Amino acid sequence: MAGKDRDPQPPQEHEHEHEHEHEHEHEHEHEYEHDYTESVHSHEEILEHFWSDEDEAELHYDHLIHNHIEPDKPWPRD
Amino acid sequence: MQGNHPVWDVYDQFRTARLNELYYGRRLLSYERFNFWSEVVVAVTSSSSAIAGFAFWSSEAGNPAWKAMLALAAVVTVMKPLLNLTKRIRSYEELFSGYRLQFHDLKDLRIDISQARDYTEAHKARFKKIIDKQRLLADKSPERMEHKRVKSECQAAVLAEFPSRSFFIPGGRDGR
Repeated sequence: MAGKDRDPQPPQEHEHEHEHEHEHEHEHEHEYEHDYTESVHSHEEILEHFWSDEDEAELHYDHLIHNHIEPDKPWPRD
Repeated sequence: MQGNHPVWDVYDQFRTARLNELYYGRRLLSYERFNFWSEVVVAVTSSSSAIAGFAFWSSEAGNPAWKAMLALAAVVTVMKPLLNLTKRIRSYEELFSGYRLQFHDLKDLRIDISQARDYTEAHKARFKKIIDKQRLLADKSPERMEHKRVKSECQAAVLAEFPSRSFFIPGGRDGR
């Protein structure tokens, strides 16, 4: 059985992993702030981030911004 | 009828992309201004600020102004984290840049149609690609709450910038 072969992780390792995760979160926050304060991205960089599904978690649409504005009535064609 | 020509879908989308670019640009600017001035008020009223030490604030004219600034700084300090300005500005930046690039893609397509004097299958395929990206955006749309005044000003600006007569229609008008 594959499960039996695995050694249980020592508690220290667990703690270490947890700390590492915490550090990573902290780094991520820092990175976020850094991104904004720099505020200089190429269009390609922004769009890559914008269109990418992988980065969905990075997108912050949990506020009152909706992302597509339609004209009140169809655009005139004549 | 020329108003039914499929190329109008490109031009409609072109003007809508421009509308979104202008709209999110305006919204971004408002929030950036608000963020800047709120930082100024908080910095000026902080105890370590050199401006706070001006003798003028103790004078009869300066004292009410100082009190008003302190009150404003207190309100701003409470409101800023609630408004989540950093996140909001970042999202507006992303939307603004996204629509700006989409507008440029459509502008390229419009020029190509005009140069080719035709709306070909290749143009249609390019347009579909642009629209597919747009659909990804629309899927992520959480809710609808527009700033009506900004939107109507942007609509008017788009119409003034791109009136219908400025577009090339194959087989009609100058496209004959």
